[in-house]
Amino acid sequence: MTSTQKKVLLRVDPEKHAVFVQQGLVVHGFILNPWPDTDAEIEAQAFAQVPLVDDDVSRLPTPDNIRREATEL
Amino acid sequence: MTITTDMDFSVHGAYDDRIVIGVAVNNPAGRHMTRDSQNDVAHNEGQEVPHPFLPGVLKSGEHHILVKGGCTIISDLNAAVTAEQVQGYLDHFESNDEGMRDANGAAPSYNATDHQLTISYDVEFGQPNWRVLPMLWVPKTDVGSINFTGESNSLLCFTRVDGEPSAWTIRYRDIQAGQSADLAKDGNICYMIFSEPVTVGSQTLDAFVAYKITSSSISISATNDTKVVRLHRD
Repeated sequence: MTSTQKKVLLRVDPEKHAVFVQQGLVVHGFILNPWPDTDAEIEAQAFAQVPLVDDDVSRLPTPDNIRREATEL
Repeated sequence: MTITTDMDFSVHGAYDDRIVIGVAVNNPAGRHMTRDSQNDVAHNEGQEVPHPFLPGVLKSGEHHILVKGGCTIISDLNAAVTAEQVQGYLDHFESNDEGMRDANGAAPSYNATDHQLTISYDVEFGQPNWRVLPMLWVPKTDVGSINFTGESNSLLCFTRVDGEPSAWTIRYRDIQAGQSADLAKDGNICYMIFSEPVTVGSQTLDAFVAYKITSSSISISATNDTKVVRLHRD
């Protein structure tokens, strides 16, 4: 059996050349060096670092779709 | 490095660019997740964090807790991990709060022939005080798996994505059905996540949502047996 987990680009830190990608349970952090020139290249290189366990590399949901402000109590 | 799973996971939200919650809810027995690299133990920024005095033992990612059902965790230990180190880990596991014993405990077993460590437990709700997550420290291993064993199993994942995972302190506690509890804030930035809906006064708090605690404490009432995870940092 293989994963059907989507990859989500969670966070990009140009200053530290760091990217964080979530796939299912796990968040992977990577340093990209040299730092890519475009957002598309950043995403492509970040996703390329994440282990592939099936052919489904679609980026769903997008970070904006899952971003929330926490309710304060 | 590969993670393979047939758990039905979904991302519930990324809160304040700090906490991401993903949950596998009510998965049947037999669903599993495996990894084949130590680097797949995530959330320490890809670094191995050795135990301060136990050789061959690393810090876990501190990012998930089983909140319903049961599981078996199997670790194929690295060849470099000696039997003596395993015994040191087991002694440590049994002797303090950094093990994963729940109310009735969980018994680890070591198979020297296969150099494999197996730990099984069922979720219970007998911890009334904040404590470290189960399996805070684990023997160094590349190949590992978690397999659901309960009739219905739920795994809560909470990852820190602010780039400083080690700045966070993570604790959990239980609140039994029908009980109320005062939950104290800790640190400057503090979040709580509940495994079941709970109430604060007339307000219902949803399960598997990160709530930012700005009061010194909140008083909650639980209808069902509930686990609360608290994450805080300065």
